Amino acid sequence: MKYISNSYEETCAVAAEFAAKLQPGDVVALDGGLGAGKTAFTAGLVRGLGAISHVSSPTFTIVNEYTGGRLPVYHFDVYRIGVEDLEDIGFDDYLFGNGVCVIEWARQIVEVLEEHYLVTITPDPDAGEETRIITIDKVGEKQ
Amino acid sequence: MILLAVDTSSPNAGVALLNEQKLLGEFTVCNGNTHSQYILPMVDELLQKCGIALKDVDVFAVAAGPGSFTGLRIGIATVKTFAQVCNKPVVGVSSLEALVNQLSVSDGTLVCPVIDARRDRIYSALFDGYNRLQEDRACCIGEVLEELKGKKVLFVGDGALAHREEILSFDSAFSVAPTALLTARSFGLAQAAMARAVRGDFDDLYALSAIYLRQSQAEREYAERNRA
Repeated sequence: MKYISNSYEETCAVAAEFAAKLQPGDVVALDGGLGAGKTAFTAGLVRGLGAISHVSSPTFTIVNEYTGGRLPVYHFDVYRIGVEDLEDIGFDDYLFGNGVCVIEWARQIVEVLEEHYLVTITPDPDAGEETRIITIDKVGEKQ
Repeated sequence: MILLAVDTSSPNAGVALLNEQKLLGEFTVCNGNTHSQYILPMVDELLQKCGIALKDVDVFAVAAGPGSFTGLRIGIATVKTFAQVCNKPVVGVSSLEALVNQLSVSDGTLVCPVIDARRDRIYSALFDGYNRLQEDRACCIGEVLEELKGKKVLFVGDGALAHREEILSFDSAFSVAPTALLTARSFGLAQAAMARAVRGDFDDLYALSAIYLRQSQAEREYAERNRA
């Protein structure tokens, strides 16, 4: 699925609509460069699940947890860590839990993910600075 | 001798209080990995209901692994803190050994504790009654079943629950512990720890740490190459 967003709010809206499909245990990998809108997408997703949480970038915390919505959301930024560090943060307890894992820079740890949604957010070189192309697909089918 | 045991190594959270061989109380919650929220209130409640004050506890025991990394750290940190503050000794017991100790088995009975390690891996060991035959290791259920083929073995643990069908259909000589005793119950841990405590076999408070049975880098790379 492909969407065009022309603003922060539109990115949030795409995410909120997508959130309606999410089930316990789902994993959402977010791919996009600096400033693409990964955290914006996450904020929309969390709101779409009905949680009134302040969503911020987990760049320093590694993982933020947002509760109060239909499903708990575990929001990761794995930019600073590698696969070897995942055990230290108890990653599997989140991944195999009953919430939704949203992982920014997931490509750094993609080998440990099984079936998951892949959301890519990229600027559109032919359009305005605020415009983004958002794609959402399901990847990594179970063997 | 009063012993308080804390087990957060599996999705179950459990605390037990033993006075010598007498079980004073046990509290187990099987509701998934939210141990950081539950474990202290559980300890508090148990002590209150049994009429024991924290300062009356003579020994603190914990399931030291293998198991959930986060769970292990929660239990070990809690128990080490109690021991340090109350100036009492600690005993760390293998969570696989603790599982065997929650069953009633005699010498001559082969018992195989199995803990689910996720990603199709398990932690396992082998006991003859309560006597250890094999060290704790990380492997796959298939390997363990092949090795034990043809022998009469009793399986226990959340890994045995997860693989129950596979175990029972693999060999008619295999059996699985009854549901009430299948997943971690902290009185098993308490009994195993008490056996050591009465001998004065304590662990060094500062050295006690989790048994992770992490896959080695070599094993990880091998698994990666095979995945591709």
